[in-house]
Amino acid sequence: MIDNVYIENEILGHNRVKKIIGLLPKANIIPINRYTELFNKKAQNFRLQKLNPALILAKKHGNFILKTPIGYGIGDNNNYYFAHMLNCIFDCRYCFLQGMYKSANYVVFVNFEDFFKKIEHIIVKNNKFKATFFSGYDCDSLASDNLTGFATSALNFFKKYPNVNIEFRTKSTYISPFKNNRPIENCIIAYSFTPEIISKTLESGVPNLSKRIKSILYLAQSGWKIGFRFDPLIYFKEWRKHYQSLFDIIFSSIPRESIHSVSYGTLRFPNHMFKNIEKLYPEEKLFFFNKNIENNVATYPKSVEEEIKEFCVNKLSEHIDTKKIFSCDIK
Amino acid sequence: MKKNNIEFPVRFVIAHKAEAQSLCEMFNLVLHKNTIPFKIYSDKKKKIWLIISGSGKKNSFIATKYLSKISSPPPWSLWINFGIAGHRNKKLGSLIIVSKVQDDSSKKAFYPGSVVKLDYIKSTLITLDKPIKHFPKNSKNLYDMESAGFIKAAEKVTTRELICIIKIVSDNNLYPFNKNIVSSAKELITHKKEDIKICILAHQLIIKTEMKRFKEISYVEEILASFHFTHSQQLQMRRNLTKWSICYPNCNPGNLINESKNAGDFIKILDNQIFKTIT
Repeated sequence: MIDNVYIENEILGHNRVKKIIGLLPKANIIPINRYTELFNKKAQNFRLQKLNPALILAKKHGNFILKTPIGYGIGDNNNYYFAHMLNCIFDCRYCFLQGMYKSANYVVFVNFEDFFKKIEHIIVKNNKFKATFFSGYDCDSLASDNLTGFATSALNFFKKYPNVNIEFRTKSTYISPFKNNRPIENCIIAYSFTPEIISKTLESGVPNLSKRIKSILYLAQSGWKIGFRFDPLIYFKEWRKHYQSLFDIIFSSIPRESIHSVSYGTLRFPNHMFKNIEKLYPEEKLFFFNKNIENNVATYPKSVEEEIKEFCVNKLSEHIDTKKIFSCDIK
Repeated sequence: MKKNNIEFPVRFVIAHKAEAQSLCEMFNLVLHKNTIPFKIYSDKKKKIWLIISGSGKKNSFIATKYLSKISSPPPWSLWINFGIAGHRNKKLGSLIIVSKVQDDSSKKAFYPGSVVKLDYIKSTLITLDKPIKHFPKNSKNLYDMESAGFIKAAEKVTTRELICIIKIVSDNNLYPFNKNIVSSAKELITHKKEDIKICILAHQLIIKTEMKRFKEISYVEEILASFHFTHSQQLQMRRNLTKWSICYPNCNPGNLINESKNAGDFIKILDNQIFKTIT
């Protein structure tokens, strides 16, 4: 439950704002000028805020759509990402957001239509081009959708543009927007997984594996395309056994023809973010590896990285056509 | 002497002695000698400190800075601005938690912590340069003269989540501000003693969480004496010792000194030993 909602004065009368605060009748409403007054300012502590994050409702004014880093994609040459929301209701210890922001409060930009206008502009400008738009980069695409209603708006928009893909990336089991809509070919609902033992210890608030598989199966049987994202791959005791088991469970449960793509990438952080996260969680064993820094990215030692990737790619290719497997290493 | 139940460090910044009296009694705070220009109180264990800032945001800014220097607060200390404030229509004696502070003259906004769940009325507070007798029509805000100065200084010494502003309504439209309000504050505050304690105790979890980050590490001095460490090596070594204490509790890493040729070597050996425990 959210206790405090900060709302930019400019959007106090916005329909989406009214709808959201209607769902939070007990929340303390605090008017603000701009979300940047309190989000990500100095003298804030992500770890403490994560104990009870507030919601900030804001209007985005620029930088709606960004190009993904080179190497990030699932088959298309043109890849973009956007964030209608910053931060996430789950608390995954490996998440880069905790190193990127000083604030764990959730920001929801309610002017979805402005995002769609910018996307439309890109599509129209690049006649007939193939592209993927990723929606779950700075947040979980669906975990807060009961509040924001973003997915339904996005589906309505993207069904008009079958040439481009939209990816919703999530760990949640919230699938109402897809239940209430007919499947569209250019939508990928991508689920991130780590082995269950890791999920239980490092992914606070994330539904368990079997609940997620049940939701995915429902979507797959309804005709939606599914993605699997094994990112980050984590190195830990008996990781081979646990990854093998995770792949076996997933690929024996979900029909192969529903799977659009599988991507993977080892644990990695921009080095300055890694340093921030280490300071926040000095006792967290996940970060006790001998870090290798290349191009300002902190990763596992090269040998470890290669070992885990090789193993996982081999195992994944036992289940799925290698053409559908993508590395998410940023080059 | 009564037991105060607060086992974590707290720093109070309060404008007037009359507002502080109840807290001094509640937490057995004793006046320090020679702390001119401010009166400062603390408990026997020096966990809880209180400063009388005098009225106005400038004084509360200076007093907060002064307290941060003189009381050596651990980084997990809770900083509280407590006192009386005016509100157009809230009942006298109501306890209100401040969720936003606006400096009336500069229009700059500040946000105290919002992590702790406190089941009390919450409000925006406007810090004025002068007291007012008549509140603006339809205003839902609290009014005082200190909070903006307090929070501006407190944000420089701690994180927002450890800043709390608690106000007791002392004047409203029916009972406007007058000279005697400050002296009658003690009575209003005494009635809310238990609620004040509840507000403070509610911060226990976040304080414990923050304290964890600054857990003292052992063996530092012994190891620093063994090799020459550059500044960055010292930081790295301290980080590694924190990890070491988790991977090998009660085991002295000093035994690895003999296996190392220099500081860099020692850090590398620690790294490898730590990595072994996670694979």
